[in-house]
Order: sequence, then C-alpha cells, then structure tokens
Amino acid sequence: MTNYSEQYKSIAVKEFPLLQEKAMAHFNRMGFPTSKNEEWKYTNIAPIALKDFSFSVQETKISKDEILQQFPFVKDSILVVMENGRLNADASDFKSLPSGIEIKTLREGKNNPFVQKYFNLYADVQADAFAALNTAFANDGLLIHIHPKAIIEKPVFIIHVSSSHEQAVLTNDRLLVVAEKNSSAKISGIHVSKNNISETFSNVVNEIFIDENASLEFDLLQNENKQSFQVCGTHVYQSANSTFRINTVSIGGSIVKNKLHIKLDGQNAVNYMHGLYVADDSQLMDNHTAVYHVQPHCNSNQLYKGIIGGKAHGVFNGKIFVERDAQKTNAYQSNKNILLSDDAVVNAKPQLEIYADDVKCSHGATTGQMDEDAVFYLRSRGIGEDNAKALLNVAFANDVLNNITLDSFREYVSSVAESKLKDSVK
Amino acid sequence: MLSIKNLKARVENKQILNGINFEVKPGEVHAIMGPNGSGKSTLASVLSGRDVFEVTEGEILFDGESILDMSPEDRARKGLFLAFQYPIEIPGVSNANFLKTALNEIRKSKGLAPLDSKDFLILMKERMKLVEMDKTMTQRSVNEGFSGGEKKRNEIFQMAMLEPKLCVLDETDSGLDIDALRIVANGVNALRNKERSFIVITHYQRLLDYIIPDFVHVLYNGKIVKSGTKELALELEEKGYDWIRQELVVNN
Repeated sequence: MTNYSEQYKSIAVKEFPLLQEKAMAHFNRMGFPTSKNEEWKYTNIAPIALKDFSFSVQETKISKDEILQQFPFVKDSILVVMENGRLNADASDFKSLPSGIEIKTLREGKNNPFVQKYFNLYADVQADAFAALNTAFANDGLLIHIHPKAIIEKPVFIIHVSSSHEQAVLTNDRLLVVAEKNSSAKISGIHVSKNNISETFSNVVNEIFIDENASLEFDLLQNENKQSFQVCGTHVYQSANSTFRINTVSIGGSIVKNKLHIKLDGQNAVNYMHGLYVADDSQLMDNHTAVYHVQPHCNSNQLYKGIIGGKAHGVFNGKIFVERDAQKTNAYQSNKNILLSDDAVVNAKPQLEIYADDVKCSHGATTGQMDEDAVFYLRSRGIGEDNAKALLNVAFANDVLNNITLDSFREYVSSVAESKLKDSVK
Repeated sequence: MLSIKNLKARVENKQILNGINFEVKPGEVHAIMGPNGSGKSTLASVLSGRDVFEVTEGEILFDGESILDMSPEDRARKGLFLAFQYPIEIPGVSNANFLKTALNEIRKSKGLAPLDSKDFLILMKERMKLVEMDKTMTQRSVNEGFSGGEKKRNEIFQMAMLEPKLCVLDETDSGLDIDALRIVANGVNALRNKERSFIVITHYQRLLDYIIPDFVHVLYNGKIVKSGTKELALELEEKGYDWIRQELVVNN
C-alpha cells in the first residue's frame, strides 16, 4: 500500500497550500471507497487501493517526432504533451497560440483570477476520495482559458503519456478549462501508456466552466495499456445558452472508471454526453454520469454504448436530476450494450429524480447479444465470421463515434476501436 | 454445377426436407414452386449454410465438391448466392462498404488483389444501372429504411456485384408491385448467361412470366413431387396446388 500522507509531506513546494492541505485531510478521513459505497458497488478498486505507487517521476521525455508519428492528426493543432502528469514542453506545440486562447500550467497560472475563482470549485474533495487525492497533489495541472468571443478553430490536443520503471506510478492529472462568453473551442484528451509493461494509475480530474453562449467539445480517448488504472472525474458547469459536447471512448486499461457530473445552471443550455466502452479480457469499465437540471428550458442528451467480450465487466449508472424550477426540461438517456461472451457482464442502472412537473425525460437501457441474422447475412455474402462481427460492432460503435466532430480525430478513434474489435474482442 | 441427392433436413425436431433430388447444369434456370410450408425456404437456407437447419441425410455437391461442412462464407466465396426473402437491415454499415468488404473477401479467396476504391466505384456505378438503383442507396445503411421493393432490388444488385455462379432467389417476388417486379426480373435476366445458373423459388407463377425457367419443380411436403418445363407453372397457376394434392392421393 502507498503511504499517501508521507508522499504528501514530501512535496517540496505546494502551489495551493491551503486547498491541498484540506484535500489531503479529506482523503485521509475517507480513504478509498469500497464496494459498500453505492457508487462503487460494481467496481472493485482494491487493486488500486492495495498497490504501492511511486510518485517520483523519472524524466523519460518523449520527443515531438514520436508523438507526431503515433498521432499524425495532431500536426498543425495546438498540442500539449503531458508525461506522467507533467508538461513536456519540448514535445508540445503551443507557443504561438491563436489569439483568444491561453494555455498554462496551473503553477504559472495560479494568480490568474479565473484559476482563483474556479479551481476546485466543482470537484468535490469532501465526498470524492479520488478528487481529494488529485487536489492534494495538483501541482502540475493545466489551465486552458478561452477568452470572450474567441472562436478557436484549431483543435487542442492534450496527449497524456503514462509510464513506470521499477515501481508502479501514480499520476494526478488536473485540467481546468474556462470558456468565457460567446467563445467556441474543441479540446481532445488522449491517454496512452508509453509501453506495454508500464504499471500506472492515472487519477484524472477535469473541471470545465462554460459561460453564457459559449460552446465547447471535450473528447476523451482512454487507451492506456492493460495493466493500467484510470479514474477520471469530469465536472462541468454550464451557464445559459451554452453548449457542451463530450465523447468518452474507453478502449485500454485494466480498470477505467469515469465520473461525469454536469450542472445546467442557466436557461437554454444544451449538452450531448456520448460514451463508448469496448472491453475484453478482464477489463472493467465503469461510467457514472449525473446531470443536474437546475434551470428551465435545458436539454441533456446521453448515449452510452458498450461492447463487452471475454470476462470483461461494464457498468453504466446514469442519474438525471430535475429540480423544481427546471420546467420545460428535456432529458434523454440511453444505454445500449452488446455482450459477446457468456462470461461478459454489464450492470446498467438509469436513475431519474424529477421534482418539476412540466418536463420530458426518458431513459432506457438494453443489453443483448449480437444479431445472429445480421451476422449470417454478411457471411452469406462471403464475409468471414470474425470480420462480419467486427463490421457489426463497428457500426454499433459508430453511433457514438460519429458525434466526434473533428474528422481526423474521429477517424483515428474509430480505427483504434475497430482494430480492437477485429483483433481481440470476442 | 449443383447436385442435390436425397437431401433431408430438420429444424429442432421437425423434419422439413424429406429427400430432395435434383440437378442444375451451368446456365440453367430452375423454378421451385410449392404451397406454403412445403420446404421451399428451408431448401434455400440449407443451400446457403444456415446452421439452424440440420441436414440428417443426403448430399449437396457444388462443382463436384460437397458443401455440407462448409461455412456460409466459404460457400459464397465458391460462388453461391442467396437472395433473401427477407433481407436483413444493418444500421451503420453502408451498402458500399458492405459490398466492398464482401467483394474483396471473395477476391482474396481466389488469390486476386483487392479492388481499389476507384475500380470499385466504377463497377458499382455500372451494376447499379441493372436494377435502376439510385446513387444514394449505396451510401445508405444496408437495407435500413428501404421499402420492400428497394430491399429486393438491393439483393439483385449485390448479386450483380458479386457475380456468383449459382443464384438462389428465395421468393424474390413476394411483396413486389408490378413495376418493382419488372425491374428485379430485368436485373436477373441481364445476369443470365451460359455459365450462371439460377434456382428461383416462388409461390406464384407471376415471376416466371418475366424470368422464364428451363425447368419447373413442385415441392410438396419436403419432396419434389413433379418436374416439368415452364408449362407446368402455368398449369399450376390454373389448377392450384390442390391439383397436386389430389394427384398424390390418387397415386398413393
């Protein structure tokens, strides 16, 4: 087990000492959640809790060429490379930013009034042990600040590379996005491992503030190696007339747990929450979403799809809260799963709590097997069985992936999903 | 080309085919007619390799080779094609992508290089004309939201693209209005040649006005009880299937 208090004490300079102190105290009080906690009922994180992690990061330094080789589509975009939670400035490319966008480490930006105002405003360090842990160690996070009326055409890519040497490594990735009024931007995060033997735990917290009339797309590709752990909390606040899109695609990892909380706190705010999880072997992929409709006339739309093979386990838990004043709310949620093997498991749980009386809400969860008639139809045209199944699974997945509006990134994510579906998911 | 010998098949515990014998030579068109429940569609499914049916006896030789142990895809790669009575809708897979995958898997099995996108498009454009198919249909998901007529046309279009040796048409005329029937039949006729054979399964004689068969067989209770030329179809249309039933009673 890791002695987190000792690790905390050994941090030389704390950038947000008061906050970090408080967060560490909360973490010490709570400890890691167990399956007795309703939110963690199906997701056993003992492998994380019991592991002895190192916090010391060896400088491994990936080059920009290596990044471009692996991710050719990031060329000509705003590129941020984070290695084990720390900025690799040499591999990154955001020196000459278009006007209207600012990218800084939180260390550099700690006196920015937006950081002072919003940092740790939405992550709940009192109740969420992972958020508390992340905050206690959040010295190396990132700030993306989009100025009022700025329309940022160039996409932003944040590539997180995790690696370990002799000992497993814990990384606390932190991102704060502030999208000011009438702005528009697209940010995509890619989580990968440096190699197949690294053992890492990425504890990620994203906080996103979207002001009036602003529009933001935030896409996540989780494709770390099969030993890695990832817990990713994304906390979003939407003001009036704002639009938020998020596409969360989980491919790699041993345990991947996503928590997405969105508060719709202004009229006519709209969001689209899409997720795809493709799990095989003994992977565990868990998506917990919660949408809080606080103000009237807001729309939320959720579609999460899972393809589960081997002995893998998928979890979807989606909560929609509609408060008393949130009349004329439209809230939709759909979760669809395909189980490819007898040992694959899905736990799906939609939850609605509605306190307003003039609303449209719907939810549905389905879990089924592959459509054998469709498989036969494809085979009868000469397409081999594995290929036929992959084709159908890709089509199922594309319902989610088609919501990624950046063509080059969508094609990349689609190819990653497709090659997993073709090669290993049975 | 195709030789079916004493073929018996069942689904679960229900015996459906009770010893079918017939032979198809290159370039021939055979019609198989019969009342509902006589085993017509089961025969089509067994030929295509659907595994819900269990072949309990007999043999199917395709180009001299037994296909009973072959997977559906291997049968297709050898040149067997089934036009489905109820084509399946496949949301999210475009017709073009589907056909390109199929065509290239068939080519691969023959040791041919895959068609590149340009050649594939040229081929597709040419073959679409055969069934008067609209360009947009190739970009739409396979059969999704297609009308009954469009689905059947799409089957014939696939046939035209994959150029099989033996085409089995399972009630391709069902649910078609007269215009769609004409288009489908024209497509089939355009694909007729000295090498390619057809088995046309139908309940009604109507289709055979457009696709003129060389031979007509009547299937009843899982057996071919009568064979003849195209005139047999007309006789059936006139006298109805009761005529067959009565004849059988008399003969027994």
